[in-house]
Amino acid sequence: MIEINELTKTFGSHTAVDHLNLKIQPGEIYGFLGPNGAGKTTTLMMIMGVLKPDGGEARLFGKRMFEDPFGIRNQIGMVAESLNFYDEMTALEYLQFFARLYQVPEPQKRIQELLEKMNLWQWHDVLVGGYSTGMRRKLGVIRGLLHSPRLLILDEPVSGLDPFGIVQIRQLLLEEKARGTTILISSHILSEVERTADRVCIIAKGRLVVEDSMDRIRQDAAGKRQIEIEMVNQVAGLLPALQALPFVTGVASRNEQTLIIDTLADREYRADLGIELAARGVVLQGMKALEASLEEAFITLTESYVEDLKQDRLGGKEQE
Amino acid sequence: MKKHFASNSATTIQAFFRSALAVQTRNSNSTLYSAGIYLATFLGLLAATLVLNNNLQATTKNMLFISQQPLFLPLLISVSFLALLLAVMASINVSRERDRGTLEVLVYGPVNEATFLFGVFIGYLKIYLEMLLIILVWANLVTWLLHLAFSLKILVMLLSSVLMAAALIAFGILTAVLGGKARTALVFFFVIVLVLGGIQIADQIVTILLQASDSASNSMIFLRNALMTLSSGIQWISPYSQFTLMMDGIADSIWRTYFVHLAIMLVQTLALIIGGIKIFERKGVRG
Repeated sequence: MIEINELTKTFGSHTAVDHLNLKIQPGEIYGFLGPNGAGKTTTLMMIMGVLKPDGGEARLFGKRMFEDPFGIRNQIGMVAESLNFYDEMTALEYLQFFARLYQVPEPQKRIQELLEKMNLWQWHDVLVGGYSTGMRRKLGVIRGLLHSPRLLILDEPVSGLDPFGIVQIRQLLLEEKARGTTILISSHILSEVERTADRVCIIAKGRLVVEDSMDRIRQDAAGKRQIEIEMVNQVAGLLPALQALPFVTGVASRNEQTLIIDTLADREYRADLGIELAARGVVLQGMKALEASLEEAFITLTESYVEDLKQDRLGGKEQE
Repeated sequence: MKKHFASNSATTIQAFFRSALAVQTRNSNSTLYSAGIYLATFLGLLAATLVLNNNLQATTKNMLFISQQPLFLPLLISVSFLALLLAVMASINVSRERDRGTLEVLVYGPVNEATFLFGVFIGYLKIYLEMLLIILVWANLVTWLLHLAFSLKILVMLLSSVLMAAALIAFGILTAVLGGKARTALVFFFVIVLVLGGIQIADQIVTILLQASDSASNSMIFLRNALMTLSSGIQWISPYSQFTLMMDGIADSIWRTYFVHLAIMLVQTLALIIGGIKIFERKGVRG
C-alpha cells in the first residue's frame, strides 16, 4: 500500500528524514511513532507529495505521486494535525465542498451518516468558526473519511479530544479497518496507538529505530520477559533458589505472596518456572506474563536519540 | 502503451478541471453571497454616472459634442475599478488560503498548485462576468434615459474588458504567490500598480509642462525622454494600457489595432497565470 525506499529530506544542514525505509501492508493499522522533531510530519508530507524528497521515493498503490497525482490523492484521506478550516462556512457547506471535490456519490447521505456517527449532526448548520477544538478534530476526521478512501493517514487524530471523542474515533477507525481501509496513524498518544495498531514503527532523528508488531516491539524493547506469580504458601529459601535458575535474570517480591521474576527474552519460560516452583513445594494461585507497555518500549528505544537531539540543539545554541 | 498514456492524460485533464471548478464555485459563491461586491459595483457605476453627467453638462454648456462615444470614459472607469478590485480580492484570497493553512488541506486532496490557482482565476473572472451584466444593464438604462446611442462598439468594449479583468486577476494572483503573506502581497500589488501608473501620469504631466513652456531646460527634456521611454515600455506590460489602446481601436474603428492589442493582452494573461503557477509549484504551498 505504502512503500518508502531510502526517503531522505534535509533542511539546510539538518537532516529531517534520513534514508527511511517502510512498508505498510493493505488493510493494517500502522502506528507511526517518534519523539518531537523525529521527522514524522516531514515523512507524511513527502508521502503526500507536498514536500519533495532530496533522495529516495515513496510509492502509494504501487505508483509514485507524480505519476498520477489526482488518481492517488483521490484514494487517500489525510487528516492533518493542524485544524485549518474555512471558519466562515457551516460544517455542512464545508463537507459539501469536499464531497464535490472528491466526487462523493450521494454526498448528502454520506455527510449526514458521518456527522451523526460523530455526534455533530445537530451542529451541521453552525459555522465551523464556532466549533470547539474537539469538534474541529472530529470534523477533520469526517473530511478524511468522506470519500471512503482506501488509505487513511491521520496525524495526531485524538489530540484535544475528550475520552468520549477518543472512543468514537477509535470505533470509527476499527470500523474502517474492518471495511479494508489501510490506516496510518502518527500520534504521541501511545496508549491509543497501542489499542488500535497492528504494527508500529518508531523513528528518531529521521531514522528508523524499529518496525515490528506491537508484541515484538514491547518484548524487544524491554530486553527481558517478566512473569508475575501469586503463591498460596511461603517456602523458605525460594528467592535464592529461583535466582540460581539459568533462565532467570532477576527476582523481586511485590509482597509476601507475590513475586516478579525476570527471565531471558528468547522464549516463554512460564512452563519451566511452573515445574521448578512445584518441585520446591510452592502452591500457585496464579501466574501471568507481564508485558511492557508501548510507552516503556518507546522510551527505551528512543531515549538515546532524544539525548543526542538535546546535545545537538545545545551544541547549535553554543555555536550561535 | 500509447493508448494507456492517452487515457491517463485525459483522466488527469478531466480531474484538473473538475478540481478547479470546485475551487471556483466555492470562491465565487462566497463572494457573490456577500454584499461587498455589489456595493463596489454600485460605487463604480456611481462614479461612472457622475463622469457621464459632467461630460453631458459640458457638452450642453459649450453646445458641442465632446466625444463620439460619451459612454466610453464612464464605462472605462467602472470596469477598471471592478477589475482592480477583483484582482486585489484574488490576491488576498490566495494569500489567506496559504496563511490559514486551508490550502495545505486542499493539496492533500485532488487539488494541486495549478488547479487551485486556475480555480481562483476562473472564479473571480466569473464574478467579473456577472457584474458586467449589471454594468450592461446600467449602460442600457442610461442610453435609454438620456437618449444616447447604444452602439455595438460599447458592447465590444465591455466584452473586451473581460480580457483586462483576466490579466489583472492573474496579476493579483502572481503578487500573492510572490508576496506570500496577505499584507506583503497587497504591498507588492499596490507598489507595482502605483509605480507603473505613476510613471505614465508623470510622463503626461511633464509633456504638458514642456508644451506649455517657451524654453525648456536640458534636464527637463532629459526627464521627458526618460519618462517617455519608460512609459512606452510599460505600455507593453500594463493590461490597463493595452485596454485603453484597444478602446482607441474600437472608437476609431481601426480593427487591426484592436486585434493586435487584444492578442497582446491575451499573451499577458497567459504569461501571468503560467508564471504564477510555476512560481507557486517551486515555492510550495507552505511557502
